[in-house]
Amino acid sequence: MASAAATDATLVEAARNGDVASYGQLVKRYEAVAHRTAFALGAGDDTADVVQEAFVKAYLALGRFRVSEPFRPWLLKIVVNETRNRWRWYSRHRTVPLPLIAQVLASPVRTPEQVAEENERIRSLRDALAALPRHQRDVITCRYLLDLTEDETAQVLRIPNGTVKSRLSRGLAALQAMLRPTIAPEVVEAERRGV
Amino acid sequence: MVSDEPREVNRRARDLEAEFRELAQKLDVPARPDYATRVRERLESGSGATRPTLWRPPFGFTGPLGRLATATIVLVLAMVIVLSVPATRAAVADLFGFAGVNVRTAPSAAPSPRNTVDTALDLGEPVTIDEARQRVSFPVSLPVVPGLDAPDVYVTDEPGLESVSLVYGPTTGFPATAATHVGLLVGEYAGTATPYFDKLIEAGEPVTQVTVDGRWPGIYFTDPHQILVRGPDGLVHEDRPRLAAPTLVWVREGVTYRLEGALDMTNALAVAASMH
Repeated sequence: MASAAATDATLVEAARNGDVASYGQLVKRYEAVAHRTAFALGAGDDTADVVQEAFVKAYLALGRFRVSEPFRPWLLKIVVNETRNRWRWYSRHRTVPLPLIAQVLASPVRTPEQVAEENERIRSLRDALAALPRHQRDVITCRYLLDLTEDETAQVLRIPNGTVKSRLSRGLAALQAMLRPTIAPEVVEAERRGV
Repeated sequence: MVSDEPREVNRRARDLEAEFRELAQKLDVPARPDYATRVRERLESGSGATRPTLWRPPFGFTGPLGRLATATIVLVLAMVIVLSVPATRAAVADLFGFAGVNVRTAPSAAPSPRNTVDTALDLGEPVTIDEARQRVSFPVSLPVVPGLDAPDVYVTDEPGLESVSLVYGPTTGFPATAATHVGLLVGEYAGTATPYFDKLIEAGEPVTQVTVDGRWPGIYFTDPHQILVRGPDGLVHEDRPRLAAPTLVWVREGVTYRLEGALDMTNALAVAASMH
């Protein structure tokens, strides 16, 4: 995607020179992923404010952006930081927002039992994710819910790649432990028999 | 007992990955506003002077709180965040995502610890032991162990965050640790962290539950772990990770103690029991 990167760089250059319209194009290009990222990482009802603030801050920080680097993770880093500022405020008030995940809608190809089962599974996954320590949850969210690469995750969360790997594996292990009875009943059963 | 074959573990990890990737499709993201227009209006509204609104703290927090947010970070066990909140169990669970002695094996490329304990650890203000006793609301205890010289003492008495740190230079029996470069580091924090311990243990962290002096609940862990930092703004900062040596944390009569040094569990417990 060299051409896209070059275009980002061009827009950044123009925006640095005060061309707000060019920056508007960058906003349009990345608003979807910024919005989704802020929400998935816990901005909750404040998502729109958080993202808007992040875009404004990014604009003012453009002077520090290295045009040889990809713009997307640089921007998302600012989005994540802004989101964290919200959490910190929330943390004092003990109401940490978590991303809500819609339930599976009834469908003609599924029986009501299947739908109920699937909803239950979604709830379990969501609750397990919510129960993870935040640093693990963030890595899982970035990698799987936001589909960021390992490099992007590292950059966005400001942690080394090795830490992304270790948090991911620790997080997955913790999730497995929490979800074990429903994820693999046959394994649980086998273990029970084996004891 | 339970013994997972690595292959089975990997398979389940992959299944779980796939499930979470699917979950991404079900993320109930709220409607997206027209950011381009909003941002453009913001940028153009102040004829270029957008700065005044830039650092607006969330929800219009201004004044001392806003300024504190940029104040010097004080390193402290993040469990203090739990201590400082009259926490119900649910609240602890909420906070856990932010707080904690994160007991995890550090990656080899982890940031190297700073060299001197006072600057590296930001333990607070250097004081005499008598001054420390005057400045905090809890009784300050010292380990009574042969071979320890008098400690350097640091105090933090920010609102809602009181701690005393004792720093002992390396001696025989208390060699310098790679993490702290000192022989023994003792932290004392106002507050009780018992629910937090429970959570840590529930989370399956590699810690050993112990009892100090036959009475006080605690945990001991040897894996290098990161310590989150908390600023005087009451916020938790994760951006200064430090590797820590084997650590014993316990709670005694409303005070949480943290002992860090090159000590095995038996010796750590002996030092802890000697605290008077």
